[in-house]
Amino acid sequence: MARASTLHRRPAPMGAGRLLARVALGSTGLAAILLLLVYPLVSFLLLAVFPGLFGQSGQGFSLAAFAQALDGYALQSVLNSLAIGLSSGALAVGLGLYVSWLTQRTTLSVRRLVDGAVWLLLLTPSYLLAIGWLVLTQHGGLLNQAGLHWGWLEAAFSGPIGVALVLAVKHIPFAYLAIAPSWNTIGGELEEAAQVHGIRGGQATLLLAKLLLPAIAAAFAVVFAEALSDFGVAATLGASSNVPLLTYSIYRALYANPLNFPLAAASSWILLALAGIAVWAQARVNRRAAAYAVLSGRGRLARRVVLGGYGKAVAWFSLGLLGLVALAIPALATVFMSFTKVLGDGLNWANLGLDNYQTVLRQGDLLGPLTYSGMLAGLAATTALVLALVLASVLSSGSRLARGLDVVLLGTLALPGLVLAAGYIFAYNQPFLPLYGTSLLLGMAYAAGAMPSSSRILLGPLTQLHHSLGEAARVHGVSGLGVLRRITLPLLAQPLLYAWLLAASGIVFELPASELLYPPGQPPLAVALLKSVHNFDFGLSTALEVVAVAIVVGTVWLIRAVVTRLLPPNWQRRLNEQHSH
Amino acid sequence: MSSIHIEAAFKCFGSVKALDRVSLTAQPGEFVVLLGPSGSGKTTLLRAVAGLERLDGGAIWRGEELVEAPALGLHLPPEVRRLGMVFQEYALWPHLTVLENVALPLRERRLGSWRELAQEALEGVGLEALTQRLPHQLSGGQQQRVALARAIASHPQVLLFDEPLSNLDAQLREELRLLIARLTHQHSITALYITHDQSEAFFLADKLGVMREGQLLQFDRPEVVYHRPAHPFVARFTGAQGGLEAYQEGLRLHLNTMVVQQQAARTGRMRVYFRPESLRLHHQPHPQALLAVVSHCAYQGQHYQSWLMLEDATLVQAPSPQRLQAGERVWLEPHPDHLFVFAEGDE
Amino acid sequence: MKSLTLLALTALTALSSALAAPTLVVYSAQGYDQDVVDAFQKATGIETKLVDLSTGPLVAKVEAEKQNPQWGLVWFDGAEAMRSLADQGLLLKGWTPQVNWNAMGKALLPTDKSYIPVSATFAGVLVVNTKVVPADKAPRSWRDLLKPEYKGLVGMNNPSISGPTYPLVAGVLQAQGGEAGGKKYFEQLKANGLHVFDTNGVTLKALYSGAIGIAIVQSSAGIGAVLKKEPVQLAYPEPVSLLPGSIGINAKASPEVVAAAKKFVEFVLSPEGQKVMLSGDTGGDSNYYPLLEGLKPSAAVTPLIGIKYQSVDPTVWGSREGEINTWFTNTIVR
Repeated sequence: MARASTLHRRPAPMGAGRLLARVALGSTGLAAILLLLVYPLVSFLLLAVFPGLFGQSGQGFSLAAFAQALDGYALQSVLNSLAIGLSSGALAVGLGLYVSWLTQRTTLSVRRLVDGAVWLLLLTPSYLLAIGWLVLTQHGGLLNQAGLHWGWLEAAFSGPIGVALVLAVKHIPFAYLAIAPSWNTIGGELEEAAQVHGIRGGQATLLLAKLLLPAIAAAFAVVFAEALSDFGVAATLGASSNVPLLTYSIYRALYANPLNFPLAAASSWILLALAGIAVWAQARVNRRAAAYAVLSGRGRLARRVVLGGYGKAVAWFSLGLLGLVALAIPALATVFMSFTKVLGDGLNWANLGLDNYQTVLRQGDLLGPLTYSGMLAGLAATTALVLALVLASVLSSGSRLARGLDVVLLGTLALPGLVLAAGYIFAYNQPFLPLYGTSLLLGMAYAAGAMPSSSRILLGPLTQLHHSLGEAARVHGVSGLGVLRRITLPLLAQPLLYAWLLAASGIVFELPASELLYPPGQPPLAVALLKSVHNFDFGLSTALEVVAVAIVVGTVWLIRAVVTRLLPPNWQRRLNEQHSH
Repeated sequence: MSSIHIEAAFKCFGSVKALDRVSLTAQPGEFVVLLGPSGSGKTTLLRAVAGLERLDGGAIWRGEELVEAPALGLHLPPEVRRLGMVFQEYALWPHLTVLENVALPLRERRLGSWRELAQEALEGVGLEALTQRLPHQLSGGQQQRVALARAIASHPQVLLFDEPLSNLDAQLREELRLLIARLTHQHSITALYITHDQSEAFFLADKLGVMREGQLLQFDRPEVVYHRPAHPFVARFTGAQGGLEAYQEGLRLHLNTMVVQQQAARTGRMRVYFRPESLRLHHQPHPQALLAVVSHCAYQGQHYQSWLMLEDATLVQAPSPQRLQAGERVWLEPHPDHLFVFAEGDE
Repeated sequence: MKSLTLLALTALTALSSALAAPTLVVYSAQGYDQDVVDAFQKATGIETKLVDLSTGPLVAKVEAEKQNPQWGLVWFDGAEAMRSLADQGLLLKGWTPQVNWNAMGKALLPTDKSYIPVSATFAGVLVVNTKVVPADKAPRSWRDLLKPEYKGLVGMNNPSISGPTYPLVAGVLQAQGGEAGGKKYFEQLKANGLHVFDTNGVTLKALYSGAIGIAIVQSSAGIGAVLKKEPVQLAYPEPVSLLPGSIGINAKASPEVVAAAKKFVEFVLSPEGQKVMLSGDTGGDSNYYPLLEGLKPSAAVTPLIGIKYQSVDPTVWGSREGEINTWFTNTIVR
């Protein structure tokens, strides 16, 4: 038969080549995860039960570290972390839901405003928020000096409530970014169906919440993990209000004499276990909820609610209040502090001036570290983003590999940067992997640190891309690379740009890996900033922070403006925008 | 012009056989429709032809070119199979204008005349005035016209349709299926079209295949499928009704009180199907008819359509020239040549 | 995208190889270290690279590197952590430079010569906010802090969190006649409304804002506050404890690196090196007491006359650090 002979004549170069490429891509991603995250983390975590590893003074197998990590006081920090993680998670998700509903489902024109605020908040280090509120509310703080003695506010901020509140506010962006795209996937008809069938008020909200449950679960898991891993708030508000948190226990065990690496490792395990709860809960929710509609090539219009006068008033008031709590108050307090000459002299005009900023300008030796960090941040953020894109596409596949990956990534999110950085020393200060002390390793650590959250951020936009968009392109002769260039990249350009900016600006200020891994003689910005402030000169340090944040926000804005100008217009349309108006 | 030949296509998803050794040929210029319920494997087959799904066994040729043969490790990626495809969800690229959507595949193939080709395709579907719109600014019907224009713009020899009309309302469906039939014949395109709508299938098909649970039960001209269904499922899925119990002895088929002469001799329990239009209605008892009670009657324009309950509680439809009253007794006489008789257990 | 990664990795590799092979690597937590390193490099021509961190991460780094130490010498305040490194065999023993030590210097020299003290401050002095506690009513002794007039006004750091605070606690325990008497003293202090904050920064912020009136902190932090013209003054209760700044040399380093490290120590203790140390960080660490005969501290530092100080023996108190810190956290903080 003619056909049978063709069967033998044609071998399969194309098929094999493509398969090879796919396997290569997959294994590159896997290798990156193993080298950047798993190997160093496991190295460190093993110390919990094998305290004698890496030349440390311990022997054999022991569970003593876990006993220590769960004794009275340390147990308190576990419980505190759990309670604060849960409450700030719930609060952030609730607020994220409300704000995303306002931007996605009402005619209120706040989209740009909220998006701007969300990114600003993402760029702001958590300790700045905490310090802002501390400066304002502590006993003898700005409020007191202004003659306002609001005991309840002081009490709230010198206890767990303040810690949970600041952590929740700081992490609203994560909840918002995780939930916002989902509003488009549950078409307005569903809401209308509820209305038509007389389901109103609380019941309707409940119905909607059930439809949004996968997004809510994802948002909660991320916020919970991020809140658990937060160190900035733990070290400032938490520390000054005697609310010991797990991250701070880890910090203590790692940095305070007598050092106790096994204890830090055991506490890290506990932190991982707590994050595991969130992962498990999310997986359960996802298993129950069918993965329903995503953005397809079918341009369906989402219906928007026209808010009445009362609804508008509530919306504006709550957004204003959020803006005040999340950005305006901490920013003002910090800026105010940076203008204060002598802190002990308190609130008066004579005590305000530019002295601290003049000192900042004299810190000429910060230019080198700034350039170095900027360059490393650019490279590491690019690497992180490429890997994050690969990871996000694996995650969005929903395979078993994806679930495993999700656990690893969320676990990494939950561990403070300190643990990863310390793990890098153990893992890479080895004769067979002598990378410790090189810029390469520091860059790897930066990329590893940025990767989990970047992939989380890209996951939303990526899952919105209906697979038929790519299939349509390939069937019509567009190659795999062409699909990436013509379809995927243009549709993901905006989220990619933002994720890159976020990763890069986070890296510029990253402290723990910078401290533990920087090459001798080549300090990164965070280390240099820390050094240029002696003896708790708060005025100077806040001035430095204000300048640094201003530089970074300015750079981010500049890059964004330039890139937006360079991008072809159809790359700038956002997925969500095609569903609005 | 190019043919599509599928030989023993086999595909499993876990323990489910999505395709169970399906073979068929679409001759050059032929419009082939695959009809089946969801889960019948028709989508998998179409996607395998497109290269979006890999077969586990079998082979696919496009003309004389082998494009899929898992036994040889051969799988040509979709982009080199030179096809056009129209998706159920339209799959228009949301960031590109109508013109860009149609032009992108042409430009990717480095066709210098891409602008003319795209323009021509858009004129063909009547959208020349909307070239600068974005997909979300169009209605569903318009979007699917853009998708159609995109698929035919490069004059492919083979066009695939994945239930393209199922998201549209009745009137648009009729409009578009005519457009599809006209365009494919005009360009002598070999088409593979899947649907679960029998009227669409009969309207479009030069050859019609009916699928169930991964198997192709019948593949023939639509007239043959209509008049001589090869399988009780084919009869039912193409609109036949009944499924009445009967007994055949030699050439004599005993159906209730009726005795019908058959052309092929066999003996055993049978199931009998018939089409609504092959029934004649009597208001008096009739020896070659089945007793039925009217349960509902509806006006259909040219005639009335009645739902009738047979003695064994089977519900059947039959046309009638006048309105029947619910509860009224009537006698149904099936045309003896238009009975579909299957041995019990053929399912 | 992939080529971009490759590019990034190549660039990083190139960068790292350009930075490879420093001759002497100095791990230091001192404010003036960069100036000293620069001056040393200029004076000797020995290539020297600095890693500057605060004491906590610095010691953590040293301990984590134990298997394969990357440093030539390590330099920070506090004898207990240095003692612990020496006891783990990480520090070169039996060598001190030939210099003319003063009495304070001699008191701080360890008997096994496993590290070299090069400066001293006081672990705990009283920094008084004169707006809260008028200068003439400031406390003068440790016992004074138990008086009702200071009830709720005294603050200090938690030693299990703030690194430099343990020497202060140990010093108070030693001055109160040992662990039992000292613990009782802290319990009384707690009964008088002692505030315990996690770190120096928080304690000082509370002091400046007037939340407390008296902070027990390291002397250099107090002098820094005075220089910053904060409304504070210092008091030196009897006895204050010495907090040495010392240098340890890597026991596993190559002979070349050990030789360079010894040269570095000699440079630090030379008149030239001391000049750099005294001027390198005038707002902070430069305000120390020199350990060499004939050298005076900077003008901002309170002259030693009239201050009674003690040396806290790290061989006694170093090993008790974990236990005492736990006790402090469980008994005094809660």
